[in-house]
Amino acid sequence: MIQNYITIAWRNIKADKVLSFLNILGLTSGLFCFLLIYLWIASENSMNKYHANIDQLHSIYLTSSDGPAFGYGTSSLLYKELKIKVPEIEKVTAMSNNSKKSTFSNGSTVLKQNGKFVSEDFFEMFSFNILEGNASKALNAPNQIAISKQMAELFFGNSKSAIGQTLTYENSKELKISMVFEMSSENSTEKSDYYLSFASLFAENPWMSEWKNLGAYTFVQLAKGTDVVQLEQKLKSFLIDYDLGLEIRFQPYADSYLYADIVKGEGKILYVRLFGIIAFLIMLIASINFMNLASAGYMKRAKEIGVRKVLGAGKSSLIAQFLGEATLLSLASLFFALILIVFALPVFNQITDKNIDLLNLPASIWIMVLVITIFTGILSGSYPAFLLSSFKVTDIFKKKIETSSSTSWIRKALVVFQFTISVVFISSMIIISKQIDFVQHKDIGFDRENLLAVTLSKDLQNNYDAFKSGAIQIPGVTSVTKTSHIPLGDYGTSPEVIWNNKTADDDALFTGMVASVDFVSTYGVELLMGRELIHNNPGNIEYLINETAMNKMKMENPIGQPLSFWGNSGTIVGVVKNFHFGSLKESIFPMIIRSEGYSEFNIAFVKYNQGSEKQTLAALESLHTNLNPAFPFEYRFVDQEYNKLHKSESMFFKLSTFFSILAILISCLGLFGLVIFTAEQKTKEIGIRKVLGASVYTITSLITRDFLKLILIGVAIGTPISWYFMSKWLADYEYRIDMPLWVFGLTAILVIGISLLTVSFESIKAAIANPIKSLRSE
Amino acid sequence: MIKIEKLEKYFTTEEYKTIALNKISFEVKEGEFVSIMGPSGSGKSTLLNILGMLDDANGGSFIFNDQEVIKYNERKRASLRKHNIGFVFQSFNLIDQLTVFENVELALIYTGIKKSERKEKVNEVLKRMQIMHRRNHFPQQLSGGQQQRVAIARAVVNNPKLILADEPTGNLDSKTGNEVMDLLTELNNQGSTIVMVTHSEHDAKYSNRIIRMLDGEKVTENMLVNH
Repeated sequence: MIQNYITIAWRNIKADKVLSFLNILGLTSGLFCFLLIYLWIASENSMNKYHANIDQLHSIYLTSSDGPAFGYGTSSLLYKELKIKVPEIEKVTAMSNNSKKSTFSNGSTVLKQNGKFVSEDFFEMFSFNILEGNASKALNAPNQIAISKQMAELFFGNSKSAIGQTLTYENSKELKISMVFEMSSENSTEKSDYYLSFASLFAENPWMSEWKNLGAYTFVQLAKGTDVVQLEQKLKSFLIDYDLGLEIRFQPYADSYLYADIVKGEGKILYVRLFGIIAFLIMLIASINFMNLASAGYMKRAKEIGVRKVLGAGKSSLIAQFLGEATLLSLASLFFALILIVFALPVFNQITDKNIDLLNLPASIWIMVLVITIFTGILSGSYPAFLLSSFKVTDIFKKKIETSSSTSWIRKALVVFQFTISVVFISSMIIISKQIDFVQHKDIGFDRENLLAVTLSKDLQNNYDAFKSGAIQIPGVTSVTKTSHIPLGDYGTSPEVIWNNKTADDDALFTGMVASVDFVSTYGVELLMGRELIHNNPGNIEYLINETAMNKMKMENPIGQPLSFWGNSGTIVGVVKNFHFGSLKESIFPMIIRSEGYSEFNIAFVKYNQGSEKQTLAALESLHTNLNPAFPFEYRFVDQEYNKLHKSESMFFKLSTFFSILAILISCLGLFGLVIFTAEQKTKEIGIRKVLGASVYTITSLITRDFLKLILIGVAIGTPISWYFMSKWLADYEYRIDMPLWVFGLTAILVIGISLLTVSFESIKAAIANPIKSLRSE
Repeated sequence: MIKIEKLEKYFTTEEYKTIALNKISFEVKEGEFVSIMGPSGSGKSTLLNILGMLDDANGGSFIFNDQEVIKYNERKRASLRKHNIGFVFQSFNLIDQLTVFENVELALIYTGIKKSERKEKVNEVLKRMQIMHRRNHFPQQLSGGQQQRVAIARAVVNNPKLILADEPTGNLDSKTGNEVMDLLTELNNQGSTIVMVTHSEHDAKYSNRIIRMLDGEKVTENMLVNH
């Protein structure tokens, strides 16, 4: 029996090549999209979950008492106190990111590497493959370093010969390699080339011993079975002992990737959900396509169904036959989709910043893929299977079903649904692209074009004046300054600001940056009051504040007023117009810019004229090599760094564009199939009308009109849905475009235009056919 | 073999009720060859569909092989049908995507016969119908007469007790039509019971008895003595 089913399924595919091709193409495209998104979601969901103790690992974040979350920043002293005082915490580590790449050298090999400072328990809490050395002793003595396998290979050829060797760190310190490790999974955010001892960082930076400085991350491993809520309750007043009015909270480490925005309780999970919905909808469109095409195609097989019934086939055996056929087709589509995925993965990985490899997927994912495919087959095949098996033999042989319209409303509803989704996809895609374009070209208050950020390595920090005077002489360079960091992205915040008339209960938070002479002119920020920074004298500290800070401090004329930030007293010399130093999703925070400061003054900014980029870079590199030969020249373009802040949106846009195009294509495939079907069904009607004198135009519009109605209904339903969701999406941005109404008009024109093209091709073909032929065949 | 009494069938639309069979009664004995004749719309095809258990009646009694089947559900009717009844249609109703062999084999597949046995039976019946040489051809490659032979082969391959034929020569020229009628007569002579719906007086003469219908009712019933 099964052999008979397969034989007839295969011969039917061959007999109706166009319909079969459309069917497989639609399902292949749908599965292709779905699987691609599924692989991405599976990868996102598995991030950081490979650690052996994952259920016990937690990130600590702080909140104001019963108020909103502050952030992951904690005091550098916290980890030691927790270990001593909280028995539920088995292990704890502090972590500090090295804000810049550090220079390592061994003989003639000089390389910049990324790394972190961590405390002793780190390697026992998080899972690494330890290739050489001992995890518990790796960082317990001064001047030791744990390095990655890649770093070991770069400097020493292999892990074995690296252990016990020394590396020169920042041209000043000799570090002994105590351990060589390898990542135990690619799905990790913990990707460092090296780890250094947190204790030694602490010893070198006295400001870290301030409880109010929240510059370190703390991670804990709780004892098995610890009730986190109870523990949080128990530690409610823990920080009060250290004069910090904040509370400790634990976030499962497994969640820290997808829910990194602890203030809102979301993060990348939003994209995971959004893409999940997109994947589901695309699969649904493809399945509907299949349902429509298959049920239309199977109408031609009515006689077969009749004969089978006459010969004793029961309803269930017919359902099984058609479901089986649909499942076989979906398995074939899976095969084609996988071939497409093999070709698409490199580009997809690049867009999504992933490293998905089909050959390295766990068996569970393959099983899911198979289950989803079979489910799709069954879902797609269900409507035609139940529809066809319910026909009465007597109706089939009287050809009654061919003209019956009782079931056609389901097909119409399915077409409307497909086009509704297509309209939502297309209009959303255009709106997202407009918002991204707005973000990328918005005047953010400082001039990020033609601005280079040059890393000042150790020696150059002390020799900045020589660098600046050399750089300013390069033709094309207009000004040079230096700051503590690139003003984009993550900031620490602090309430440690004192000004005249500050009330005792004022706990406003400020973010800070340290800058140097010529800051205003190099950044291109607008000065509202006062003047530029002109002194770099630690004894004569100057402050610039932004408008938001001025309003926060309720100052009317701040120029000349005293200000103290983290205990550094100075004078406000200027007020700058607000400029963005984070994503446009966030509003502008009060900012204080201070002249002179810590030794971590590591980035110089060079402003150059448009078009002189090449010679400026070449000249800067030679200047850098002259002044600082032990360190490689490292630079970044500030505008590119800015665009990175909106990387997720950019990725989302690229993918959603692709998926939208595919959605409308799949929908049109279905439409095309339906038009063929309708034209066939109406052969007799068309023939009679032509005999009675109808023109090609009348007949074409007869077929087209019905479809146009469906598409218009789809547009009418899709437009408000898209409006609603896009309003919500835009609302997430502090700075956003107004909802562009024309987008909905354009979408309607696009969708109707593409559909009309699809429909008219077959309709005209039907209309110009010879009526004698069609009537004779009746 | 068949005994129907006061069998009723009507079709209703929103406005009309059309009576297709109006309390019709007759009997068919085992081994008989009965023709049902009547003008279009007289209800003969409806009657044949009910006899073939493809359709259900609205009232009356239908006894098949001593079983009252009028209230049987579709599953039971399908089971009874596949083991006892063979069908021959005017338009042959062969499946275009299956070969001659596969079309005939289909009737055996649903009765659950093993593959080797199926092959034997199909070959045997194809030989009997003299179309063995066409076993691997598709229906559209055959002449009308050949297609009807295949259809008859399919109808008899299961050795059904009853063969129902709905205008079996309607789509054939007279010479081929006669061949098909000879074939049916031969099957009848071998013991098959045949009920045939026809418009053709010529074809009806091949049978033992003619039931004439008009407007859903039996008008006359003649035994053909010359047969």
